[in-house]
Amino acid sequence: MKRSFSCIRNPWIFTHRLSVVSVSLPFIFLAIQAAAPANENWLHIRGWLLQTYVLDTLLLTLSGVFIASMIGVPLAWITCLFAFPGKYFIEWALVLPLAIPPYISAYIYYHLMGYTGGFQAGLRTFLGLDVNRFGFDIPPMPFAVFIFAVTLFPYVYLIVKAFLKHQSASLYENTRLLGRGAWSSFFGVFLPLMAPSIAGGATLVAFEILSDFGVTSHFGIHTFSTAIFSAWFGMSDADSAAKMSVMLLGAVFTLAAFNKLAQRTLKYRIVSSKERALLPRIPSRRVGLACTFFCVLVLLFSVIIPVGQLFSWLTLSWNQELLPRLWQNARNIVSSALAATSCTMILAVGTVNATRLFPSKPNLALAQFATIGYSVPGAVLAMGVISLFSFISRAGASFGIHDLFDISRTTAMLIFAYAVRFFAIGYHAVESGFSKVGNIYGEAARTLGAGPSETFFRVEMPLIRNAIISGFVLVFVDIMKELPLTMILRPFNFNTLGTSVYDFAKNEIMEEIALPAILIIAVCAAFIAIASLLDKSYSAARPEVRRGER
Amino acid sequence: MFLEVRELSFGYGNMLIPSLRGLSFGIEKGEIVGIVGPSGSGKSTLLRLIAGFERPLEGSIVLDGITVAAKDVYVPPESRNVGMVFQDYGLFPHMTVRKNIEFGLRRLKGEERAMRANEMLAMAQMENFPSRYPYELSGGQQQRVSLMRALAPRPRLLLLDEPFSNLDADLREIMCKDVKTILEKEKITCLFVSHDQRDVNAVCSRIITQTY
Repeated sequence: MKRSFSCIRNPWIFTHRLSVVSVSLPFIFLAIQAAAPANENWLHIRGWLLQTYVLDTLLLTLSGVFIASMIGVPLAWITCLFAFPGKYFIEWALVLPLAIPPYISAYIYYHLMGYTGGFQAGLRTFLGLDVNRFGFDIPPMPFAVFIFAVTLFPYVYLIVKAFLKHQSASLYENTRLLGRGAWSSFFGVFLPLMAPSIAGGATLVAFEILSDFGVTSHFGIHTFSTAIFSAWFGMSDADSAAKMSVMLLGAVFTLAAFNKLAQRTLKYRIVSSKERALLPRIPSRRVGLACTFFCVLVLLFSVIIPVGQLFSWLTLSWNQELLPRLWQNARNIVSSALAATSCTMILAVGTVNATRLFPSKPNLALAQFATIGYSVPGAVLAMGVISLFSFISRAGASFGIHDLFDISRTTAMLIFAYAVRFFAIGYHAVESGFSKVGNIYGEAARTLGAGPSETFFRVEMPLIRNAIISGFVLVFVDIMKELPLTMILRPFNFNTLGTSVYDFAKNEIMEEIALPAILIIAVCAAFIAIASLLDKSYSAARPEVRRGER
Repeated sequence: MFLEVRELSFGYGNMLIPSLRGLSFGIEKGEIVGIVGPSGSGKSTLLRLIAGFERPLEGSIVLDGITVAAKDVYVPPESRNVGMVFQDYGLFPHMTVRKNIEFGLRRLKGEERAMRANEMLAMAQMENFPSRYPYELSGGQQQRVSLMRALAPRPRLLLLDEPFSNLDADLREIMCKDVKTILEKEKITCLFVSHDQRDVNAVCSRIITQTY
């Protein structure tokens, strides 16, 4: 009997190919649309605006990445090295900023620093200081950099911390024995070792900034993402939007290539075979308090102030009449998120298992390609999806099937776009689950006569269940927070919690953003906590699984 | 020959030197053959090729007169009817001892399946622990359950991949005797891989030495 590679006969390979095709198509159609001849709008953009878009995007991304890394790396270092007061709570709480979308923080801080905002009002009321109101007019660029830094630093923090937790204690102990202090150990030994992790976290921060629409549009910063929105909504010019999307896509791929290069060239291999984990030690009282102060300061700006302000607004804006509309918006986003997350996880599970069953180089490379959606800015992906669905709609009309995936009437486009964008998260969660379990159980099942599908459903799926749930939760959370894709692809009169927040902020009805924003943050925080618990219980509670690792 | 390995070559993708080069040998039906050799000499790789987890670069494997691996032939592991005991046992952690043993018996009807499972449990001296999970068993018990699970579907060939490497010296000696008794009782053809000559001497009737 020959091994069958036919994608029709093998459901795993079929799912793998479906994922690859689903991700590829929007980009192919985007490229076709971008190749259209230049129109008047494009000539205007190229002549007068493009330079500003490039410079603003570069400046914002580089500054945001730098400051986020300056916060994330020291946090990872001190939480791994020192058992300072409040460490265990703080270590967990430092993940919470991921539950707060940057655009919500931006609206809150913008209002806080204004004349009627809490900061100036507090100075007037409590200290009797009538400060110069213009002194608080912070330029948009540094303001946006601050917002991105305090909301996105967990990407750097989490990745660097995960790296440090797997380092051998002997590295640190040897540097100390050789006469170096803690700072010298950090800069001389650990910083070079951490470089690939920092690059990995920084790349994720850069992707998020490049993809942002909410913060930059609120502060009036002219990045590529806001420019794509302006071309599409302001000028109804899909061709120019597609051209800018392709340029931004080029920048993203360059960044991803730099990250790959950094991972390859900066990575060192640990030669010791017996490693003792780097365990936190009790620092001197002064150092301990300084660590706690730094962490609390970061939490203050990233979580406590924004959430506190939202609750303060909630007391002012609580209104029963708003609830039915909000309930409808919540239902919209939850149902779309559930549908998209289910599709994403089915595709992710199928694709990962296909690469395990048929681990050829092309299959692995194609699966990796299918994860690019996450690095592509939402606005770019949205343009690709519009091009694709317009084609399908036109093709349907030519066969007499009108209104097939009509852009203004169905959420199919939005759900498809969510699945393409967040496929990478599901894929990596499932892949990580499989790598923890190893191949041994699957191989044992195959020698006992079970086929690939039976092996997966009876043996492997129960073992990686937590990883699948964790992937589901993370994808769901990201969709709940998502704004650019939703703004461009939502059907007429289809609102979500995120778009409600955006609309209220745009109309300067700040108190009204409280309830939808709190709902988004609460759901995201709860789900992040669940994912974190699942991950911990998965690693800790199954010694029999760990023993099977290879 | 019951198992014929002809001119077998195999190399992992990222290795310049193949782990196996032109290996040939044969086993008669009912024979218990040991393969010894240093770490990295390709012993476990040979078992993975025979089980069907890897495909050879060159050469062929013929089992009971049927070619299961050759240049254009590949029979997947589940269709080879080959049992395997892994170094780490590979007991399914979410299934009880009984469920583990019954896993390979799904073609049997309910009563028949229970009888065969009981037979295996008795042979493993595990009659009193059918509802235990693998993590509730000692190393020796896990090893015995793993062997019984592999034997339950009556495989044509049994592959043992360093099955005693996780056991201490005393238990190892006892297990060697137990395994030999069970294999002879079941009259099963077996290929036993180990880096320890003493294990192989205790269990096998013939030894093949594998070098780099």
